[in-house]
Amino acid sequence: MNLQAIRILFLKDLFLSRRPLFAYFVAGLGSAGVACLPEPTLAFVGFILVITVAIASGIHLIGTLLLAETTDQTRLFVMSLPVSLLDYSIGKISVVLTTYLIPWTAMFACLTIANFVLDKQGVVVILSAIFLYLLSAFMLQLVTAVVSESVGFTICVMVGCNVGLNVFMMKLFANSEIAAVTKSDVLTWPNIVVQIVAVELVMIAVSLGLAFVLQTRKRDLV
Amino acid sequence: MTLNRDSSCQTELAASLIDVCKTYKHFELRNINFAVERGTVAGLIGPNGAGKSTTMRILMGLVQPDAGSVTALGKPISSSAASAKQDIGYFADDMRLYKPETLGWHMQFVRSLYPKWDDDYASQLLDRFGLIQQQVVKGLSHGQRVKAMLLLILARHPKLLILDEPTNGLDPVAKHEVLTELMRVVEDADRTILYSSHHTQEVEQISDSITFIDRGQVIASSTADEFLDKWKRVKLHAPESWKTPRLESLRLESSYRNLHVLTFSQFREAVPSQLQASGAVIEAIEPMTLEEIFVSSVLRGREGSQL
Amino acid sequence: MHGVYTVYMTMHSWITISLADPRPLYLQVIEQVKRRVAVGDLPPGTDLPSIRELAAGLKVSVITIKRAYLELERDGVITTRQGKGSVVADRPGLQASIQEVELRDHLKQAVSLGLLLGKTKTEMQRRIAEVYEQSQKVGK
Repeated sequence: MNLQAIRILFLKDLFLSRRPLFAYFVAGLGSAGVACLPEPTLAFVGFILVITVAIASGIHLIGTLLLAETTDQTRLFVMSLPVSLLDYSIGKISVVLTTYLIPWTAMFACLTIANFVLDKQGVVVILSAIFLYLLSAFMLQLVTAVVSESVGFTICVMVGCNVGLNVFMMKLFANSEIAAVTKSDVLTWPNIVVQIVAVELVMIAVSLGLAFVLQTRKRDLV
Repeated sequence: MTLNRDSSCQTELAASLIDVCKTYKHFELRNINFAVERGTVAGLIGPNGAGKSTTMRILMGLVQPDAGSVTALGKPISSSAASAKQDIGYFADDMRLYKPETLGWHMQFVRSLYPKWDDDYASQLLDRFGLIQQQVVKGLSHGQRVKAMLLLILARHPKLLILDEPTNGLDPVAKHEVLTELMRVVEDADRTILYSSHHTQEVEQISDSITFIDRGQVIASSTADEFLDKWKRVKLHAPESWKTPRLESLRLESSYRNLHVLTFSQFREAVPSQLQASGAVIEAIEPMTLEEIFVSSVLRGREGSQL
Repeated sequence: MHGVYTVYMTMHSWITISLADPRPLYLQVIEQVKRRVAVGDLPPGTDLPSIRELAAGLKVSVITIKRAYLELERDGVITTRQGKGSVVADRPGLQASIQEVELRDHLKQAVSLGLLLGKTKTEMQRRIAEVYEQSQKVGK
């Protein structure tokens, strides 16, 4: 494992994705801002935009950083350089995750802070559940992309996760315990939410591990 | 093929494949035994789909063989081998650079991974190849893209160059520029080139050793001179009843009425008299071009496998 | 791909090899070196480029140049010093002897052709005298 090589590959991909990254960061903050507006319709629209940015950035980054290297044959170029498959895998997965986390963290932080400021701490409970769901969905798409190297499969998984998200949110909002906590200005974590978050965190960790292991087990790079 | 462990011996190998096999769904590489001596130019000729690219990718560790051993510059090659690639330069026709970025960016990127990068030589190459650092890869023509990729390889002075059809699709001027720079590598007795090409003429001119490959197997390996010396085409007239004598190195034959054309792969002094003794009248004994030799070898090989 | 060689010349200061020439490349190199020596462009003792330098300059395989140099040495046109490269042989009458060999080769070819066409010795001699006189006239 060559840390120097990993660092160079990581920075290279970061540089290559600078424009979409910046765009999603700005769009994310903008959406989060709109979501904090007092007018309910606008806030709702803002909320949808936030979800959209989270989903779109995931697909876009996986597409350009991971899948495009195969179709564009730039991977052949990278692997002709003195980097091992391990270096490539570590660099690649960590940069895809990092670039996703930048707008994700920005939006999550922005909304959390806004709610604290507006004295609506309780909302953070639902926010956490939803944001961690988005992150697990992303990780699932990442694993799919690594395994299948296909845009088609990855989009199928994305659509599945999207449908799942709507069902998930519906159930969340319908839950009376959660509803009660949401309206309060004190941050308490109902058991159900704790369980949900735990499952999501486990899924994220497992997906990450799986993506990594499956990527390094590949023998033929072409 | 035995690997020589004495490092001072001149026949040290720059690359070797021993009993390498690789199976794909519709294609198989079988028992590839192939070696390249240090300080030489080795040419690999084969039809499309013969296995040239696969062989070279195996040599670079980009593809794992199902069996056999691979070494380059004395080190074993596998997908985990990164340090070996420090001294090897690989080029493939289907390799691509990052379209939105400039040549200059690519030079910086490659430079960061190779301590042996030579800035001065890189500038010289920019000049000789007529390339501009600020140019975006997307706007490069095919020839310019090939030269750009070769620049990225040559500027770091690799000890072994593995080039998969580098002159494909190049206009004559670009080809001249590329061959000139590649031949500069030859000046150093410690540096080796392995390259594949369709252009038999070019291979004949610059290669020290030539290997033919077809349908996943090595069918012949020798020097250009040996091929040209040994292969001959004999044209003769023979009566209706004449049957082709069984001669050892007779590879192919074709006939039209009483005119026969025989192709020999190991033409010996005795052959004309043997043919005359059988009742044929020799009209001409002709040399063959490397391309004709190659095509004959392939046709013979395919015929043989059908028996 | 057609079987015709395109005319394409490679230059390296004083040697030119042509792909349009059907003869083997090493023979072309040998002939070129001999010609330069015979004409006096390469006086005895002149340093020749190293095998690899010449190979790179002419864009031909090292093995071709090696063979050419080997035969040139065997023919006494060049001498190779251990570790110091090759030089044009410092043999008195080298130029003349190369030219002699060339003349003899040409004459051999002419005689072979003559014999094939059924010419007698006297016929040949007459023909040679004829050509000689014509050349003299052109020379003036």
